Amino acid sequence: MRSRNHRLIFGAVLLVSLAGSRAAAGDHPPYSAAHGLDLARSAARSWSPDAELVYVENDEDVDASGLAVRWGYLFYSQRKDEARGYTIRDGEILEATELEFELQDPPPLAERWVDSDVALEAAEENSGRKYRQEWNGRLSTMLLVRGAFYHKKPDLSTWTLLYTSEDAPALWVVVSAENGKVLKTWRG
Amino acid sequence: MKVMRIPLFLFLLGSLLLSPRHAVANEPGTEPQNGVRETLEVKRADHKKRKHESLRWLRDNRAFLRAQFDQLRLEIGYERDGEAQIIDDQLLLLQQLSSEIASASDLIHDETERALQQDLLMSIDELAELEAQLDLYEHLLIDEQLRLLALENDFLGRQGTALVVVVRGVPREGAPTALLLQEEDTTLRIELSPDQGQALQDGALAQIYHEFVEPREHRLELRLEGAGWENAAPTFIDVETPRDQLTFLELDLAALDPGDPEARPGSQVWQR
Repeated sequence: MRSRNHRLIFGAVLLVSLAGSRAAAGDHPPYSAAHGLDLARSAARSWSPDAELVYVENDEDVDASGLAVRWGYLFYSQRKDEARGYTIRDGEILEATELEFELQDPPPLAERWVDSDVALEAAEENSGRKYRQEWNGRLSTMLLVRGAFYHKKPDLSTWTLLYTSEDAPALWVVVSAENGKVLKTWRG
Repeated sequence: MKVMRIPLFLFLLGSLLLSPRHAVANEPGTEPQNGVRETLEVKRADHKKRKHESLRWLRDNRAFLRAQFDQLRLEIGYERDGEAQIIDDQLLLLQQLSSEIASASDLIHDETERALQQDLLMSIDELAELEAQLDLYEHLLIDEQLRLLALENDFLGRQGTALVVVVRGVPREGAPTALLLQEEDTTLRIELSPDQGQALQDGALAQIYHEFVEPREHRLELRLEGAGWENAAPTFIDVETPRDQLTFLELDLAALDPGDPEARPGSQVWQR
């Protein structure tokens, strides 16, 4: 009788904890970077009509599908000579902040770019997956910027994926945001 | 030799004091342009503490990224491309409406001229002609109504995210002479004339702010100016502005008290 009660209690606790974890995940659904852009752009245009998107970065961990619960979008206004960032979760702007440092005239991102899920898949197939498995590594950052990481084609917007491990130098994978192909990788 | 140096020193000192730079430095602010007065104040940068960590890599590696951009400029120079843009459907619609209005105006003008030349109705045929003319006017009116409807639909369907702040009521200490509404580094100062103060006292509403804003939660700082309000603490109001909606924030100033820093204005928020 006592062991039956224990089993019932254990079952109830398991159910509650499963329900809890599902609710927690459901509270903040992950999304791909491009899906928050419309809202971020609408806010940025209210801030300054000439604002242009210059940088995107994951604000929370990116999952295996290239989605994150929160992404950060940075806009630059030439007229104001200021940059303003928006962090978006659940389809809402959690916070809008101005950069506390100057980023002189950063180039605007291309109008069209492949989404974070496509970029992650390319990076994983190229060398990301192998790096993670060999070195017990993880993807720590995904960022989208124009020109800075691929000087051969400075006009190109690129995703840069940074894998890190405690046991090995970091792996950098640069993916073309135009066609989703890996352009270069390096360690360090 | 010493005698020569003293007048020279005085001349230099005078030039420095009278130089335009010195004059500019003493100005409290630039002249208002389009109702905006820019004020210059030097103080330590006080960045808002972030509740949510964002753009972490960028912040941690800003020097690295800046260096990358610098190299980019050294290698290729810098250029922004202008591109031909597809004409907005709305512009095409407006152009079409404009042409239709011009055409209708011409038609009315011609018909009016013709009507003026007809002094008397000479026959039944002319009566029929008049009837046709009236039909034409009726059609023109219907077309005009359709154009107005199209314009109205277009206008209503294009609501941006905007905030309107209205105030009502007067604190016990009397109507303020000005209201200051601040968000981040932008302050809006609205002077209230004695008549406007009286109007508030009589129960009128005053609109003090109407701007496009970011679709997010805002923290507004409200301060009042006038006798008794010099040392009063500012009041903070949180308001969320949903995307593509017009948010109204109504503040009832009657509840404010300069001696009570906890006093908050009665507030009401609605959207349309």
